Amino acid sequence: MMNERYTNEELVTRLWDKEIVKDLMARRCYYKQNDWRQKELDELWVKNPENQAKMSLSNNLGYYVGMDDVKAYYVDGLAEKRRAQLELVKKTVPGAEYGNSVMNAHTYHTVMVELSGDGLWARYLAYDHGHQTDPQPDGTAKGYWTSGHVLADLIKEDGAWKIFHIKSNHDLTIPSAPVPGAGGGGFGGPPPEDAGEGGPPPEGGDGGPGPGGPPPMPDLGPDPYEDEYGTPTVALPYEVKWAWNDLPKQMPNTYEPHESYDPAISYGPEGHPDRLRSWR
Amino acid sequence: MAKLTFEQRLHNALGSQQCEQIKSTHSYLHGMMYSAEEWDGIWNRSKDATWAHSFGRMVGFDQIWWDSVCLVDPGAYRQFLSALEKDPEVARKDPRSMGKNACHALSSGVVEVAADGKSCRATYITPGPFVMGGPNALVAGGRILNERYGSDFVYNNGRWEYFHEQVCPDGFMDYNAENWAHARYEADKKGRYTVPGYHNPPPVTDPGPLHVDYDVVQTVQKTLPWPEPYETLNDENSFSPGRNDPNKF
Repeated sequence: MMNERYTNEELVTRLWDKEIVKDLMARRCYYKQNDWRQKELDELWVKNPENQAKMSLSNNLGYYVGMDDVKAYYVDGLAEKRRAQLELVKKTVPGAEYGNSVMNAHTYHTVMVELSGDGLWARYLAYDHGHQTDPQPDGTAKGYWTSGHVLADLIKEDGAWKIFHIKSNHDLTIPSAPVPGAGGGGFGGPPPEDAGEGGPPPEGGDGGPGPGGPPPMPDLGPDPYEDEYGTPTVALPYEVKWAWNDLPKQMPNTYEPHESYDPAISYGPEGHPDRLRSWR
Repeated sequence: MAKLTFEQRLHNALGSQQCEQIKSTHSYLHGMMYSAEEWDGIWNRSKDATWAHSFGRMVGFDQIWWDSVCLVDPGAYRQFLSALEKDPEVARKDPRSMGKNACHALSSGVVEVAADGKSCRATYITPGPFVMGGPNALVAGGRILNERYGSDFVYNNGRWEYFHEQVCPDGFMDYNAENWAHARYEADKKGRYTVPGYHNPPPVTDPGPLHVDYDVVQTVQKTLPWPEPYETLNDENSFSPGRNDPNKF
């Protein structure tokens, strides 16, 4: 195979490295589902102390930086939440155990991986869709559908891929219960009996989805998970209000990879979109 | 099927991976309403490039560009201007990417690279979750979109390019709102059957309908066969038969 830079063996390595990166991030979905937070930090994240000092995990309010801060938020914070949830569940199920009534799954899909020219850094982007359940103060439980996207830097440490930064951009939480104002619509769907003014946002030229939809979005109210974001080490937010305004500056490249790791375009705090000037 | 050398198999494996990447690239660029960047960046520009939806097939890069960039961008800017009237802070934001967010989730990919290494074919099903800007273009909303996608890619001048797309929409509905299939049943009873394609679709060379949204009186639609192993892009292995020359200008 003709390639100006890489040997066939190197090309095989690059091919396989991308699959390992996808696999590693997919494994994280299962670790989260199992509530294996500490195990995840121990097994999937960077081990080198210098890298651990710079590792980060973000939510919509900012970045937790360094293993200690990440652990305090991601592991200890969750344990505290689970203990509080247990007390709620005990109101209706006195014999409840730690973790009862709790379920979550976040699936990563529609993946992009940009492997750097030197083969030591991978930029990752995936859509994140899932569901979560949480006990309620009255002892009942409530389920939610969640939507967002995840950006990650992975680096090779001693020949093994490890997670270095994860930027979780949470877009919305939808309660799994009837939402006032929702419903109807579809591409080419039947016209509504009570078509209102304004209509759907345009798509496909001047036309758009059929007169039956989509209808205006209902007001979902405040996000039920906002209170859990805590106080990040670096307060640089992902603002849902502006939807995907940040993503043009952050997408991995499709054809031409960056040569080597660059903090300024990383998914750590140094690479926050407010600090970037242009797309790509 | 010809027996391939190691180098040919490596080329095809890299191609399969790159076409998955291109497909995802499309999804995010479309989600950000970066239409120009999508068609300028990852698409083949020949007269045989095609993009199809239920309403019909756009033929040739020029028609695709007109329909998918020139006619789409104004909608994003209209949303932006509408949002600006409600919140002056909108002025410092990206007019396109803050508004739309029609990101199509991709799953169940079937990807085949031709034995000759010059094309790749893929089908995907979207599992439904879909983030989309509301009409005020300020807050993303969630809906369910059921669609299937058929894509052809070509290896042209040393890089993989998007060549054909066939979108087959099956349904578009809200979370938690209703029994959407039953709602169609009730609508059908009143004579309000599914309308094939968009309302007021953009101009196309091959008019549809090529696929029909869900309706209780429809039969199973087999409009998007997944790719089987194949030798080369031709009329039997293409989502746009008769238009398989990526260098026809």
